[in-house]
Amino acid sequence: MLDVLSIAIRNLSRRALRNALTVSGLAIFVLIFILVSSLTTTMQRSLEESVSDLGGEIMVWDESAFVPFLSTIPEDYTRTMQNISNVRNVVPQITGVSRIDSEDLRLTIGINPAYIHRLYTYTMIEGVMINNNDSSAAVGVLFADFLGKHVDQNITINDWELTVSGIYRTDTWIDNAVIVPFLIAQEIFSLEERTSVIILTVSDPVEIDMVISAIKKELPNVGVYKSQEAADRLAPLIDSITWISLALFAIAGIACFFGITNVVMTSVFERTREIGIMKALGAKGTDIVKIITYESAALGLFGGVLGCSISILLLGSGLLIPITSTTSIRIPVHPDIFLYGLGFSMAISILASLYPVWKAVRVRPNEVLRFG
Amino acid sequence: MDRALILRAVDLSKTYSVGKIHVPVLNKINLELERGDLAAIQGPSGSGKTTLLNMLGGLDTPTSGEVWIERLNIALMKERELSRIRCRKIGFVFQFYNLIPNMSALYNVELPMIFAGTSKHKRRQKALSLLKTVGLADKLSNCPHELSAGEQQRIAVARALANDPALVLMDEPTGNLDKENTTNIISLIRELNNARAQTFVLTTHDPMITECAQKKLTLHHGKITQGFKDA
Repeated sequence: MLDVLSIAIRNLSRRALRNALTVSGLAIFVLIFILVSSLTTTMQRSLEESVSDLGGEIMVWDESAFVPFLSTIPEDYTRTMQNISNVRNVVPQITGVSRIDSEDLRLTIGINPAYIHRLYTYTMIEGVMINNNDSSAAVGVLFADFLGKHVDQNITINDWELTVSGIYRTDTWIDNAVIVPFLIAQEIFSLEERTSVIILTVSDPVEIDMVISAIKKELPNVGVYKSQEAADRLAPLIDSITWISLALFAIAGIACFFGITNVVMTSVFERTREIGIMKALGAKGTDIVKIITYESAALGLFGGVLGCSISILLLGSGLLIPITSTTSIRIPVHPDIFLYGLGFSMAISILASLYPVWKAVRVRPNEVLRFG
Repeated sequence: MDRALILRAVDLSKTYSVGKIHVPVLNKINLELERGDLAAIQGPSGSGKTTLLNMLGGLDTPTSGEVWIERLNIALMKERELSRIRCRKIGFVFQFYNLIPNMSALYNVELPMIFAGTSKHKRRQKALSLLKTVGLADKLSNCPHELSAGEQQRIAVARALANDPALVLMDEPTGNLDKENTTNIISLIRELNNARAQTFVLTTHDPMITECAQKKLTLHHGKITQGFKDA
């Protein structure tokens, strides 16, 4: 096998420019795959978590908004909801995208400090959670690490200067956000007497559907969801994203497939005589299959590794992808996607070589060699 | 010397058909060669020399008749079996050398042994020995384009001998060489034929080669017009 592999590598080195271009094409395919897959995976997780991790049992937001970040509703809806029986807590919450220090498009959550512990499960890594309406902010552990923030340092949100009261961990997307008092958030986002969402808890979980009906009756122009339903509401959006990414991936894959088929086919045509010589010297059909398949697999491997390397550089440099007009997310590195990218690159290369291999195996030495 | 029968053709015929047109190229060729024979096949262009050599070497299949290499009738064999016979029993030398351009002289000689599954150490030793035999021990790492025509043909001869084949088929081995190189190749063929118990069959237009052959055969329009006879 190693001997045949060495023949394949020798052949590749002969057409360095052409093969380098092929490898570049494959690398672009892998890059597209990794970026699109990482993006959709991250978007799905972020969107689902951003809704389901908001806490509470019932969520109310602007029916026309896909996600809470895009919603604004009047704050006085809270008074209407407080009058509904079986409602225990009614907590307005602002979820907004802001510039934090030098970082654009960062998430800030505005909530009444008295309700934080009722809606979220968190542990303090440093300092304390915000506990009054002063200009203080609690920073999620991931974001604090990123910014290098510690307690008592200042943090600027949309030109508002606040003091870091503590650093918390929730093990959810909120670890990448900043929590500020609701009243401060209203000023930061210019949402006077308005809020993004209203979160409710009920005194008796059995009565939850009745409470939802009552809210819909009182406030017919808002969306009222159980926490899980809110996540489910995103399903069509997430499905669309998945299908679009699959379509992109398929188009890139098909283009790559035909490109490589063309390259390998050209290479086989150019080497018809050599293949004939090898067969005359005793090469079996399987030897020819191996030589060409190894060449293609090597192209796939090199393309895959190059694509993965470029992806790591891009993702590692903190590429931000906007997911709405006001929200962007950083794409983390998903190791499994890199493995899939490498695998797809090799699979496409090998599949693309099948037809050229078939043609090569059918070469008859007496037809390509001058023999008298 | 053991004079075992190495090559035997029995009523070997080949007809190429294109649609309804049938062109007979070989017509009931019968021949026998023993171990150590050096035979020359001569004849004008289009007489069927190439086709005959193709049939004898398992590169083409006859329309009818038999080709026996030692005790195997290769006319009935499938491609996979023919590959094995070509690898183990037959060595080829082509008029235009047909070396692999991106491979060194050494690797070109090793190539048939790679296909035969010979270990790296063994084939390296064998290739070095063969290149020394053909007088190219100092050109091991040269690629074909860095070698003269005569040197390339010597490498092709070394390559043909790599798997110690019982039968070496040479198609106009001096057809592309000048007089000096022709003389050198003829000397080499004679030396190899004397030193190794292998059967050599050459097609040629060159009287120098015909002269050195122990057996001669003349083809004309696919028929033997002058049979093998001892020189």
